[in-house]
Amino acid sequence: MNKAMPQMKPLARQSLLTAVRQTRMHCVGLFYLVFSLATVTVCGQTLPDSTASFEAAIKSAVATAAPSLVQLEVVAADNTAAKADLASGPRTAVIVAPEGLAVTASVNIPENYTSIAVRLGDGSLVPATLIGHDESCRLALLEFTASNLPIAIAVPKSEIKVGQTAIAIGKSFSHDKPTVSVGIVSALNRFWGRAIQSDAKISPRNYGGALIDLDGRVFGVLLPLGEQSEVDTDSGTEWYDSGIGFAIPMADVMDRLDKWRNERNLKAGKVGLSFRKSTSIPAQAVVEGSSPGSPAATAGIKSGERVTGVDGQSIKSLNDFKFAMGSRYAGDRVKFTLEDDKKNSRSLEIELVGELPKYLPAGLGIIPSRGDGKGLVIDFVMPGSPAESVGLQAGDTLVSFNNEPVESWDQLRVAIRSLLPDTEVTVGWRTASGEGRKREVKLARQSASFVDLPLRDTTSSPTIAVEQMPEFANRYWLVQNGNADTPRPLLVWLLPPGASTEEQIAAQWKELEQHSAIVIAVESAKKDRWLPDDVEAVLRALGEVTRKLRIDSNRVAIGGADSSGEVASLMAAANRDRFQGLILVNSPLSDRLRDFVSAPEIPLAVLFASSANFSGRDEVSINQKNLFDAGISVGSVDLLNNDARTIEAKILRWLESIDRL
Amino acid sequence: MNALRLSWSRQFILAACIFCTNWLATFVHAQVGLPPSLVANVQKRLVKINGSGGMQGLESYQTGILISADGHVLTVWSYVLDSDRIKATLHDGRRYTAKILNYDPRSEIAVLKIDEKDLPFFDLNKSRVPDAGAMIVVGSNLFGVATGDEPVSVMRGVVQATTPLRARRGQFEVPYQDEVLIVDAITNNPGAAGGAVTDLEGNLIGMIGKEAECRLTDTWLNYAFLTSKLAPEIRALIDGKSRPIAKGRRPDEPMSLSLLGIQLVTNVVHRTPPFVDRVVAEQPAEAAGLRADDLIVELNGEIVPTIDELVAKLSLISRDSPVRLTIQRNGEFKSLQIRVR
Repeated sequence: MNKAMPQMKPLARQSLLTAVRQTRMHCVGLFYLVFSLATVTVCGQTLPDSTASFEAAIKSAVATAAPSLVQLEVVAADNTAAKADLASGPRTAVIVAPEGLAVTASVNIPENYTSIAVRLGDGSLVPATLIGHDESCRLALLEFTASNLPIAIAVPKSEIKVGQTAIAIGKSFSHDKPTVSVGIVSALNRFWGRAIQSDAKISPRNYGGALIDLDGRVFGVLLPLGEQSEVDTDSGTEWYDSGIGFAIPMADVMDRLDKWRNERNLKAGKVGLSFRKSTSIPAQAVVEGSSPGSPAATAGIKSGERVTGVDGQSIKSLNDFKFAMGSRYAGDRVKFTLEDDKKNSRSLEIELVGELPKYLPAGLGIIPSRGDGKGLVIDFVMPGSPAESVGLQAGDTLVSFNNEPVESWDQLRVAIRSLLPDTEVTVGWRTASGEGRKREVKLARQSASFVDLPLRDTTSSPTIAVEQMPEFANRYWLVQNGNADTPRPLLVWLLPPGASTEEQIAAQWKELEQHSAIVIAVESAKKDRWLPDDVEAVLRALGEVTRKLRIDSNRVAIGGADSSGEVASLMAAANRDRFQGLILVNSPLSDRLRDFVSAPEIPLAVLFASSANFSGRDEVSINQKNLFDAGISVGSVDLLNNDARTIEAKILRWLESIDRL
Repeated sequence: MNALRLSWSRQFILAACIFCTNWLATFVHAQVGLPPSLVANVQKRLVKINGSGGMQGLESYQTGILISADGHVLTVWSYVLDSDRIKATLHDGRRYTAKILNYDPRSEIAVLKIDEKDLPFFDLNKSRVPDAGAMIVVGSNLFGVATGDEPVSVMRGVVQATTPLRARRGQFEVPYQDEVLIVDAITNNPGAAGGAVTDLEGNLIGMIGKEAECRLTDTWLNYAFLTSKLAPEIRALIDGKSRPIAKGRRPDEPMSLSLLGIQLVTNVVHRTPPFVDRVVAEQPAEAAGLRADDLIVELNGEIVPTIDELVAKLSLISRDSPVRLTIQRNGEFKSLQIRVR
């Protein structure tokens, strides 16, 4: 057995260095020659043998760790989720307590299971119960009756090094002989400090099993991890066997085992801060706002403050902050150190929560004026809005909010985003005739209803230009009305699959004559349908146009008609930081869509436009209700057969107004 | 004084040389690579096979394994062989028209013959069943990248497991259900089928199977037939005999739920767990103590997660044999033995 074989390099180097130092002292030149011959010979001899000894080391490590794994059997009726069959065969769990506690990947436990059992090393089948999930790390804790089980020995985190041999073992095929795949530790601290990455083949064959070292100690529990780690327990499964797999460090699991057992379900700890978009590299952790009702809001963290420390650890960037918070749980008390723009520092201890209160956007009901004019001039006051009720009028200039002077619309936006509907606020303004006013008013739930804004006087007719993106089969047409100096709203329009001609597109968007918006009409790569690969092309088109033209980043929408509308809803949901508006013409939301989340930093307004003969009205009205309940602003327009205006005219009109405050 | 300095610098050069030699050696060492002679021995015992295909996403190539000095080539039975112009190309570029000697569509293996003598070959008598964790060498013409006198591609990996093959292609079950090798090298690629898996001594242990998905995990399988298990079958094929692999035989009088007196819940969804709806009075199941609402978890020690699987497994048991059920009742497992006669 030669477990040290792969680590011989540093040892040999060290002894050589020592030898060099010694011999330099004694000036015995011959020693070098002898020594060099000796080392080369040793290496020459061991070379053919090293692979075999490595193999022996692997087998020995597997034999050491195997008894601490159990086979997991889950009986579940089919749920209609696409990956349901993932649950059909046996899986693996790692024993963490001798009296019958085991940890597995949450993906192994389907929601609607009817029975969970573990098969122990001796082949006996024992019923198990689910204690709960660690939602942050997507692991599940199981309990069953047993005694004197061998428990896994965790590798201390400080000993885990990138490049070390790592062996992935699982028991999906057999309750006594584990499956074995050999790789290395590829990276540490993935997913904001949560996971170890390995290139060993990690798949349903070993999810819930262990990543072990050459001594048979456990680095971590194997599982799939993907981008939306908090939403889908099966995200990341598409990377199975591909050389990128993950394990949650065993040392971390053992550290929080008691807490997990007591609290049953562990949730990621949330504080409710959002941060300013920053162009500096690395991005700074400068607070934009705190979600209403969140621990951050309750503690009084203010917009503009910079997070400089978390539990005494220095925070120099937004990434530092994410790493510091990545493995925190609800209920953890965390000390935040903050610094304001005058370099005054303060510290706050805040208890994290598992769920932030649902964010419902609030508003006054005003549409800001465009252009770089002086002051915050109101362009339009929404009928029935709080603004209207206190007598605000188009042309008035806002000067203060909650008794603090307001200097920009963005400042007001941030201030309102930290408040919930029905919050009493004070608004100060100057009328067009120069008269100062100040009133108290209750914020209302922000709406996205259709409003008939006054049309603009424009003279030039829209231009259209086709663009072919180098790496994509998709073309897009850029339709715009001259060159505006002010930032303009933008609509990404998904064309119906199939051939669209430039004339058709130009005709469809001729209404741009009277609107300031830019339209990018993108075609699908395939002629019969939209495919997941098209998303990248659409985002690329958006990126190209955003770089070339001045776009109002508060008014970027995506939309489409019929099946393209459903695709637009998927793209909007997946790219909330890019789109503030979603327009669905004669289309419900895609039924593949999960819940929309609502958060202050990702506002979304959805417009449903339905023509008289649209058959999906029932579905759309359910969509509307669900979206509204989820905290999304919803509006609708109905197109009658004899409507004087085209649907495009209404869409463009609505798009002008989606940044209402 | 001068001489001493020279000696110092010489020493430094010498030290640097030793350091480099040592470092290079340990570098090779740390990679735990494969000896070149082993790799070459594997490569020259494999052939590149070209046949029909080449359109509609069907590749016209696969790999074959030399198993005799006289040009017997073991490969997988596939549409590639559905041609009267099968070409086999050796590692050194020698090219032959291969004849199909025999094949077995159920095990999906075929033996071809090329007209040549004194070829290097894998000795089937040396095939063994490896342990999980054993390091392996995989040689195959994956993606058809090797042509002419180019040797086939070689990968390294370990044996993940040996396990009965439970696989499908699309909706169709793969007929071979005997034990296979699951490897952690990626072998489920076009052209790899028919390639060799060897141990570190260069002995053949497996032949890569055609692309298939695992029924238990819904993932692509990297698997290889165990040549030690197939050896008798291969010899029979060479001798011109076909020895179909024994499949699970159905008993003349199979067991059934009605014989036991068990009514399960209606099998409505795609995977309905076998919950007992009713136990028929004065029938064997009642006598054994089975009750309504029990969940049948195991049949004769094997998990039966769905009604379909329970029914299928019962049909493979003779009605004369006792049936052992593990049932779940109030979160506890119980074992029952039921006898029909």
